[in-house]
Amino acid sequence: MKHLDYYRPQSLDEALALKGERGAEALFIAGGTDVMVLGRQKKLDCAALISLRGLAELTQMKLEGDTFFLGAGVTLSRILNSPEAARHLPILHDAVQVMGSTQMRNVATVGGNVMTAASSGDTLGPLLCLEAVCRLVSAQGERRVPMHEMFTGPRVTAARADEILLGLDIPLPTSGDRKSSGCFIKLMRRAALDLALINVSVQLWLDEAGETIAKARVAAGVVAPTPVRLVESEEALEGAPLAEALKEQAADHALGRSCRPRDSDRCSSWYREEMVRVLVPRAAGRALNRMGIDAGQVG
Amino acid sequence: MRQVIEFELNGQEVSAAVTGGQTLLDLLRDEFELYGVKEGCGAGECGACTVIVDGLALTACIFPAREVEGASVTTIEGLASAQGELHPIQESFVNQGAVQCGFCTPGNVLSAKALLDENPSPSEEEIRVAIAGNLCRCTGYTQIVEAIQDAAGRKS
Ligand SMILES: Cc1cc2nc3c(=O)[nH]c(=O)nc-3n(C[C@H](O)[C@H](O)[C@H](O)COP(=O)(O)OP(=O)(O)OC[C@H]3O[C@@H](n4cnc5c(N)ncnc54)[C@H](O)[C@@H]3O)c2cc1C
Ligand code: FES
Ligand code: FES
Repeated sequence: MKHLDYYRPQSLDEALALKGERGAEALFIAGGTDVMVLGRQKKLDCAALISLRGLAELTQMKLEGDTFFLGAGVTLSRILNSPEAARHLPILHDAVQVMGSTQMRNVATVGGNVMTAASSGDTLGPLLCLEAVCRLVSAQGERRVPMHEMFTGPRVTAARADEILLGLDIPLPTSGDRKSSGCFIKLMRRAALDLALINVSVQLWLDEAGETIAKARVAAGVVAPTPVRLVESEEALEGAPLAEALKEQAADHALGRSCRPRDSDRCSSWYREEMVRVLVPRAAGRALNRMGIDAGQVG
Repeated sequence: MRQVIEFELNGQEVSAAVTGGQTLLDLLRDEFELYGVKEGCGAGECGACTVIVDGLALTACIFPAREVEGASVTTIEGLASAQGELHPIQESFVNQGAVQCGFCTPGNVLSAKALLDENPSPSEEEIRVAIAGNLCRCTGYTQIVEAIQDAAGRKS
């Protein structure tokens, strides 16, 4: 790995030009917490690294009207320390809190998590539930790909190799008068520095009266080759009175077509399925709690 | 392709010729002979190689050396005074019995320093979060947490 060329472009245009020159033999690197680990394991198949760390375009995090823009180069620590992220996007904030360690969060970026596209990627379920849109930039211009079209296979995204993820446009869940909140739960064997056995994300929107669930987004990781939305579970929740969200019966729908966990040396598929059933209603209950609804009473 | 970079290392301006894939860990140990930067797992998971770059604790074993160009880097060697007087955090670690085999100590002390520089009176929970990425096989962590509390108390 030592003999790689290493570029530190200072603008998006410069980075795209370098990628144009070096083509397939160059790989982008942001925080490097995935890239450098692969490099040390001698699994990195490239002749050059193009660092995205100097690109000011990628490091913004700002609320503009009803959209929260999260630059791909924003580190997990910055999200963790952002009061705005905690307030408007608690589902994402939950995830960042239980990722890696302080040292890892200080360098790892949200864009790197998306582009690595691991089924266990902890920001991915929250971003799916928030219906984030990926803004991909190349020499040909910018295109927008919704999160649910982003993950096309294990560690494969809809982005082309010459595209840089500029950032994510996240529509504010609480825009207008709608009440909404979400919650992310990660099942781990230890409290820090562990990949998820499974993770579950639930975002709920209430109707105007606050009595039924108008819209639900449910996602899970490590239950399929890619992070997935649990569409059957969403359908079961939508239109239901609040109490339904907490019932195991509703959770059974979570084990729909997209949820097909496998056995691994970390845990069995049986256990993963059982835990999806437990964690979907638990996350829904906490989301309701966050909207000031006593989940204990409703269910 | 070697590239000469300049950066600040423990308060001094230095330069070094680095290669593209070189890690900060290798640069600090091999070129600057700073053996207080330990290599445990080499994969970002144990924290033995923790250093502070521009105020942030990070694991040098998976950090590209090229990226410290223009930055300020602190290793454990940068904490004691030139006269050999220990930094207050180091003193607390010694006094509280937080150093046993010592392999994790540089990393834990630097994680503590990054925390206390940012937050001079952290709660126990905040301390535990700050060192969650620093594995210790000897102490059981209690003494380390107490040492950091002690150091915070002395500073304020
Ligand atoms: C100790 C440790 C603990 C970890 N814990 C967790 C965890 O708890 N949960 C979890 O989900 N992950 C975890 N990871 C994995 C990893 O840290 C995350 O996936 C992280 O978010 C990657 O971000 P990065 O900036 O370091 O990515 P990098 O390693 O820099 O890049 C990752 C990939 O994305 C591409 N890329 C990066 N940015 C862009 C961009 N803007 N445009 C186009 N391509 C881009 C790179 O080319 C590369 O293929 C852990 C890793 C380590 C080493
Ligand atoms: S050696 Fe760097 S984290 Fe273990
Ligand atoms: S003192 Fe031995 S590993 Fe911590």
